[in-house]
Amino acid sequence: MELKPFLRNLPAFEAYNDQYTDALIAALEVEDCPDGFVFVHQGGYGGAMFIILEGSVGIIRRDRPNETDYDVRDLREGEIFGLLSLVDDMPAAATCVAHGPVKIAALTQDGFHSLFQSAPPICHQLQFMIAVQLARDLQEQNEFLRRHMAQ
Amino acid sequence: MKQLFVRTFPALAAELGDNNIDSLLAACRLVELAPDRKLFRDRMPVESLYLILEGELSVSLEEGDKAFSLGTAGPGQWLGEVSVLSGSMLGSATVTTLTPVSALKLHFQDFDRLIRDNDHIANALLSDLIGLLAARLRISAAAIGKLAGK
Repeated sequence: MELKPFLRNLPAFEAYNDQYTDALIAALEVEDCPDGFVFVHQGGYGGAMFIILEGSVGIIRRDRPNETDYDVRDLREGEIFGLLSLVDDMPAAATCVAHGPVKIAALTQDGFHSLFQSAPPICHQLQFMIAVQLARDLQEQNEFLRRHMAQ
Repeated sequence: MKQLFVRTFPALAAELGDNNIDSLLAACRLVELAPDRKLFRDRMPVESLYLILEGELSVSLEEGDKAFSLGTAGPGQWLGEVSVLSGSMLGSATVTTLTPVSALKLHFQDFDRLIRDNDHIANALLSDLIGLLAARLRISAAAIGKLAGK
């Protein structure tokens, strides 16, 4: 699979020149994963950010206080998950599992840090996406607390 | 104001450097708030971020006539960032001044411009905000864990 045209079709990476896109591609690790492969467990650390190249990934969250699993959504080709794995000491908010065979491009923390030198604008885009994700997760947690207060 | 900013946000100031501190401060307005003033109300419109220079504020969630304390905020912290970054532009909590407060007010459009136009400022501001948001998320998760354990 040609990664450059694939990335150029994604809104997050469509605006960058060849130099920066090539740097991103160099930092990505492409892997084929079997059905049922768990990319990250809820509460786990040290994963990576993943871009789905082919296939589907299920996001499953264990709700508290009932400890029941529920499907949040299915992610498809071109979608990104695991962004917060790029933040130090940030546990994963959900479990991510391959639904069928999946081809993935992974960006580890080391790969992310290398982009600060080789492709700063892409790094800032990822930083912005991380900050947005953190803000939304915080809102979601506050909403959980509000619901709990209302009971 | 610059000396106070550098003293209160030392890591951010060091990352920004002298010229970029000037650019940030030029985009901000210094505001002085009296005690017992509501800076944000839970789920009410928000249009600016605040960098707290002096004073202490309480942060709480409201639901009907109930309130749940999320703790306090003070010098070196941002406020309003959850509303602006999430895109909701609504307060994620009620924030009330407990003492006289000095803060730098940064309109969301000026924040957007700063991080869009200058890579160095973008890196410094976003790194600082990610650290702050991650810390708040851990505190919030711990609060939920305690509630769930009851």
